[in-house]
Amino acid sequence: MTADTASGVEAPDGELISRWRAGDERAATHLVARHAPSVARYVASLGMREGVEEVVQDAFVRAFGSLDAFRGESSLRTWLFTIARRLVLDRRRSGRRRRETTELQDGDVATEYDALDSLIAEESQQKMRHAIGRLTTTQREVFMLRVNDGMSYKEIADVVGTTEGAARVHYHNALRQVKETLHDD
Amino acid sequence: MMTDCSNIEMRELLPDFLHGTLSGDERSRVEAHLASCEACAAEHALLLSARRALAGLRVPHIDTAEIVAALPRPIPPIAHRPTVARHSPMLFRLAAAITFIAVGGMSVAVARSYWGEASVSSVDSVMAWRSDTARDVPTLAIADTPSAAPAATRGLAVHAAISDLNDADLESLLGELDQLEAAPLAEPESTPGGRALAGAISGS
Ligand SMILES: [Zn+2]
Repeated sequence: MTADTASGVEAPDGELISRWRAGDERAATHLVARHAPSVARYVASLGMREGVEEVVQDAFVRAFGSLDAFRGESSLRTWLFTIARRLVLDRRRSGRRRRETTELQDGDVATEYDALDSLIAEESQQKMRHAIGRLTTTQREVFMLRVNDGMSYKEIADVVGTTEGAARVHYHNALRQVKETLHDD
Repeated sequence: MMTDCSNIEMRELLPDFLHGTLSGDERSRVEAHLASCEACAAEHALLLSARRALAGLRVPHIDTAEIVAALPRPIPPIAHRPTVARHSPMLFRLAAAITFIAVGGMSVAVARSYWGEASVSSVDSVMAWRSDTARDVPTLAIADTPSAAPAATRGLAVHAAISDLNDADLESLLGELDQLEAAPLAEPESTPGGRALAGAISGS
């Protein structure tokens, strides 16, 4: 890497991780800024209503605390998503936060979106949200990771703990279901 | 409703095309295909629309500085870490536990005797360690659904993957398992068989 990447904005994750380990806190800032929004969106997509910031922070703390468990450059995001998912499931199961976390039900995702931009949402977007909201939880999660986050089936399999083949099947079932719902409406 | 395109390869590439992550060659092929295939063009438009809709999900503001301040202090590079003994009884227990995970499909037993605790916890999720393609990135995959059952086929590969971990990797893995095990877990549908096996491992 050249001095051009010194700012860290464009540096790959692996380089920033090395710099953070060497004591460069700005490298951590770049990594957090790069990944926190997508982790937050993912956590919200799992049905978290309150405490998203807390889960995102906890995921970063745990991920950075176990960075030596992997040396790849492309898997930090997968690692963060995997930990965040675990945290959301644990909270859901614990019951202590049942009022904050709600199991995603049919139509829930559409509800979740409405508060944000009901004013600007086009009719087609509302239909799309409705269609996505009708997917099963697993279909929706896989579909979101593939379409919204651009993850490979391998990455999706790592995050949700399944196989690449199963992830592919969930994706195509979700896509078919969305098409059918849009067509039926 | 329009029939799906029979060119599965092209359809599989559409989300990556959407995210601009294809190589130049692949991108050109997808572009050429989209220009001539109505079904794929419609699917691409649908994915684009879905992405817009998903991007609109309400997400609270995340304070980067606050997260950075909460991060642990950097860990020295792996070469300087203290090591744990290779092929220790703990390693055997770990391998046994992980084999059980892969075969059992629904439960995992984490032997904690390494830390002087004889207790074993049954966790209602599947955790499977494996090495990534280049054996450079051990990954902890976690699942809470029966959909992870196909992972059973990986069971035989787990031993090799585990023994390939160096001591520092193993130490990290155990740290991770410890963390996960320490998390609150209460699920009514734990498999009884899992608990029995967990007991067997703990009693060894
Ligand atoms: Zn086509």
